[in-house]
Amino acid sequence: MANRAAPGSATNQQQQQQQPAATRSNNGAPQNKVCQFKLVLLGESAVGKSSLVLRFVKGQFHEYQESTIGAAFLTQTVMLDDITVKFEIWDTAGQERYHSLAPMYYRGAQAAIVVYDITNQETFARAKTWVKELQRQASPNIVIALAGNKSDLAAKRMVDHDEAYAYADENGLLFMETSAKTAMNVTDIFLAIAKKLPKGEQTSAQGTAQGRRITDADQAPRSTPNCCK
Amino acid sequence: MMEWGRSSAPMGDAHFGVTFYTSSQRQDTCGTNGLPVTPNSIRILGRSQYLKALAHPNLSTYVDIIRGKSERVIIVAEYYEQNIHKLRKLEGEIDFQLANKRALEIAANVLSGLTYLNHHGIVVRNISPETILVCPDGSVKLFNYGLYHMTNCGKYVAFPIGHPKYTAPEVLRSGMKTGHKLCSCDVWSLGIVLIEFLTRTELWTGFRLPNLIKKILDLGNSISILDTILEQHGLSNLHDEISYPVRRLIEKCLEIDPIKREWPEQLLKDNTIFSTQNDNETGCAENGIQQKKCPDYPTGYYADKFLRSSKLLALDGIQNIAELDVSNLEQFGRILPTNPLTERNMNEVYYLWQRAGGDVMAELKRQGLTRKKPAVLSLPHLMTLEGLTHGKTKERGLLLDSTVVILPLHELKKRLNDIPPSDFYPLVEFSIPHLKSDISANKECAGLPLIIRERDIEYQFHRIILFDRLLKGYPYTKSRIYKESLQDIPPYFRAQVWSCLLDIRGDIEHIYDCIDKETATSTDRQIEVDIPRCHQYDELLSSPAGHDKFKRVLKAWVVSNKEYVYWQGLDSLCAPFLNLNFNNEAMAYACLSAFIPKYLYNFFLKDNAVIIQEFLCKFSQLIAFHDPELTNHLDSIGFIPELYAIPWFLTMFSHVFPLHKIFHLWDKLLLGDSSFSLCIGLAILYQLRESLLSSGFNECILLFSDMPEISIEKCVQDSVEIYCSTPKSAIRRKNDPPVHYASSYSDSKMYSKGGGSSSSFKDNGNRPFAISRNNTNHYNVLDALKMDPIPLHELKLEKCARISGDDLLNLLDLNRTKFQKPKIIVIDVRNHEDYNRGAIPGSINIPYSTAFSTQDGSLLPSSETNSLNANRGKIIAVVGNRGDSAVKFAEGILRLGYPRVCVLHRGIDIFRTSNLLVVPASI
Repeated sequence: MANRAAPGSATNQQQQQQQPAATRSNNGAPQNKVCQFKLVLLGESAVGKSSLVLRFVKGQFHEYQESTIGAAFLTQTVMLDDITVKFEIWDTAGQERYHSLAPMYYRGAQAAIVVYDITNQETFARAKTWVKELQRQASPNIVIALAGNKSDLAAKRMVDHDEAYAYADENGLLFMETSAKTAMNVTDIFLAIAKKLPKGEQTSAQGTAQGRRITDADQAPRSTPNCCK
Repeated sequence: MMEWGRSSAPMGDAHFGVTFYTSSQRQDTCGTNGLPVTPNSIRILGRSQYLKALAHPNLSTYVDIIRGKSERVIIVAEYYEQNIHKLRKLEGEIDFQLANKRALEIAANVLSGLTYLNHHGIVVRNISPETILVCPDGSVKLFNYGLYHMTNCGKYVAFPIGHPKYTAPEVLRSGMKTGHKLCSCDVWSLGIVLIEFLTRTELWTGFRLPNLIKKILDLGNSISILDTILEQHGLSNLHDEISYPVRRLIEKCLEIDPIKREWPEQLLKDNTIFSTQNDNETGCAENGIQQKKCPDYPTGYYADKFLRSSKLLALDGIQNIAELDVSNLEQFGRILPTNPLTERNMNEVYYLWQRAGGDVMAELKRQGLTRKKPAVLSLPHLMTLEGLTHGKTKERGLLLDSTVVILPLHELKKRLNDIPPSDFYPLVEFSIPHLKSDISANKECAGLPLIIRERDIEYQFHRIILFDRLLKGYPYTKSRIYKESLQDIPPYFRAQVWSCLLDIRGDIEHIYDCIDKETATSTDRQIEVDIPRCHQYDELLSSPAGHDKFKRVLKAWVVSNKEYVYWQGLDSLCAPFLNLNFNNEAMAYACLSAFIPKYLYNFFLKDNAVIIQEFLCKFSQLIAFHDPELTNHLDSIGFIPELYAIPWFLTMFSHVFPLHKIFHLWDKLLLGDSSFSLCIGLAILYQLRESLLSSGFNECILLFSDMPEISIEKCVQDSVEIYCSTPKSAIRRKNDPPVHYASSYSDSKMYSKGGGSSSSFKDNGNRPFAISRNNTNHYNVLDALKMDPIPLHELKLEKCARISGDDLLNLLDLNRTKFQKPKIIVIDVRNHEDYNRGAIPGSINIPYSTAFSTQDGSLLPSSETNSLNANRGKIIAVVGNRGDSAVKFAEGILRLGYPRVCVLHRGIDIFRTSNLLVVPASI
């Protein structure tokens, strides 16, 4: 964390974007590499996107997690061997109508978790369409994970584990069944993503920049020159 | 004329009786959907709200239902100490003539109450001599009649409902908790009660429960149940003492076959029983009429077809005011009440009692009734590995305790002692100067913080009396209600006041009833997953009854607004209205339907991107106008409103704050128009300003993910100030609601009093265009002075808001009719030549081309720049030609931190054809 730019300073922020944090420690004593990744959660509403994030970030679980409107943002850092991986997590609204906002959040994301509810077949179908959309429109190197949430409700299962696994395998997705309520596989899925993400200089640099400026595409005329799309 | 208030009966001689019981705890903690199971106490709370809306002279009014600790449910209701049970014990020698007559009166009263309950789908199952209260005037009222209903046929409690002795045989046979809902079972209970009353004998004493039940079930074998019972108790000699109608009534009541047994309504119509009662004081025939007259609360109380004055009674309740001999003043002397508090309705008195420090829980505690066995003592002696327990003693608290605690009212009376009786009947229309009025005393209190005002009993007392009167005069008192609401809205009347402010009128019940709320639609799934997540900390909204209502209201809205769709967030928007109008779905629906077009016009279109983007653009401009430093910082870190403000505006903050805060926020929002919400947004940013200014992007957005505590009172004050100090045209949107949606109060009168700020420039001139109307002769091109809608793509390019020619002139106040000093300075950014040919009087010329330093973008010093700096803080209107130099200049000085910068819409050209422009040299 020593390499994090001081908050509040615009120039620092810009610098950080141009120069990945991970590479700025080469002059001093060997330090942890810090990589920042933008991660987006997608999926039908009430499948547990916000709950997964809340469990991962704060270790909490709210039975009556409020619905998300627009999107929410949270960050969490995980240690992967000697690398510090910082996730900037965009938790999106699930309702189909908010779909038009989604590109604003997944554009430039290096990772995505597509969530469905194992007790509801329709949410799985919706998850598949999200995967398709990501494959078509998101950045080509994006790491996609499929999460079958609410695995604590196995008695009411409607989506077969093997079916989902086969689908994930076919499409090159990470796959886990999770439970935000019992915390099963929650940290694991984020760690799996962190492992799969390229920690090389280039991607990290590009990614962070995009992560920072997520809405510039919509604000094109006013956007700053260093925005990379 | 509408009947607004909760028209419960006046307090009279009633007490507040408190009963309580513990609902059963559920074994399973988690339902099949993975969500925790709703506690039974919450379920009861939701179901019991309906009872509060019932109003009938023979039913005790339910005043409050409270959820206590460890699943306890506490019920506050109208109560009289006398009941049939005590009556039976008290009297000495039986006077059968009187007893027969009295029995018929009691029966008529009870049946009348039962009929009303049956019409509202309620079966009592709990009739016993203790639950039939006797009022001082001799009439009787059923008490605790909602126990079976609120516990969902007793399913939510561990104890059986109803005393077995009075329970109908078919109920005993089929089980106490089956949803057997034939309302004739209550008639049986009445029959038994009547026998006990007439004979003053307690039936079947000394029997153990199984034997008692057997006794009752065996009655089915006898020819005349009445005779059998009398015989069993050695009372056969009394048979002839019971008059024919009473005997007939009891025999009909004790019909063993529940299908053949008559219903309360049928019995009441039986001429052979009740025909001779016309001349009695509380005769049933009269009662029958009374019952029709009395407002049928949950369904029809809204549209009251009668003139209220026709129903006014002299205070002792006997004589119709219209029949009083006006010339006889002594009669009027009788009208002055000795204790005016008894004239106020029960809910009101209870509300005031709470303000006077009344606390039901504390009262129960004081009487030692909330004691619970320590948990350690209730552990079982033995528990097997499989989870079977042995030797666990039954928790006594789970059984029904029939104690009724009477709430002491002396503290309330003491607190209201000093209030002169005339304050109970204030003159609302005219004030008489020499009469000491409450207004002055109230004025003092009005300056105190809202939270204190809401707890101050005297203040609330006066506000309630005043609003009660005003609401009764709605819609004719609308402007007065609006004016008083600027000060504050008494929580007791919030539901009604909001409805007034939203201009609800007409037969909303009928409209709501006509909407199909049942047919499945494609939105159902979304609504169903959203409701269990929406404001669920609230006991009412989290109860199953609440969920059902929620769903119906939302479905009704979606079905009747075909042009709109359900967006997540609509649920949050509905929550405050449903919470306030829990017993009046139609009103909740009407409020939601009126609120959306006024404050969220077109926000719920299928494609609402344009609407939201425009709104957010205007929000950015408003921030820039009032707080350039914040704007510059947020711009530099790329922190745009799209990232955090969509849920704010889409739900008018109802997704952001808990209900108690929304209430205070909307109290003010409802007095304003849709652009007022922009000001609220800015006021929230103000409170987070320090954190925002010292944070980078991530910290900023995290701040909003976990919204910190916001002081609503401060927020509201700030928003009013912002609203009053922003030119109207600067926050005008292309997608503003059409005029007919915006209330007539929307802009001009708004906050002219409440804001009270001297900077308000809406005080003068009713409309923003007023000034141009006065000067029609001078300026021919009126339209040019107005604000036209700015296309979104253009709007997005501009950081500074535009001001209309109208507003500019209004603020400039060239004739010095309104302000001592102009509120605005005009910076003319054209070149000197153009400027010298004709400019706005008093404008300062700083040509854009030479204004800024090329190195650091600062303003180059000059005498003009100095006068600009001297006027810093005033509104700066930048005026240019057709080009974009004005916009660029405005953004230049915005970057330098100049506040209140705006650009004249359409530039200097709009004044060309007027004779306003002057040649600067000639001044």
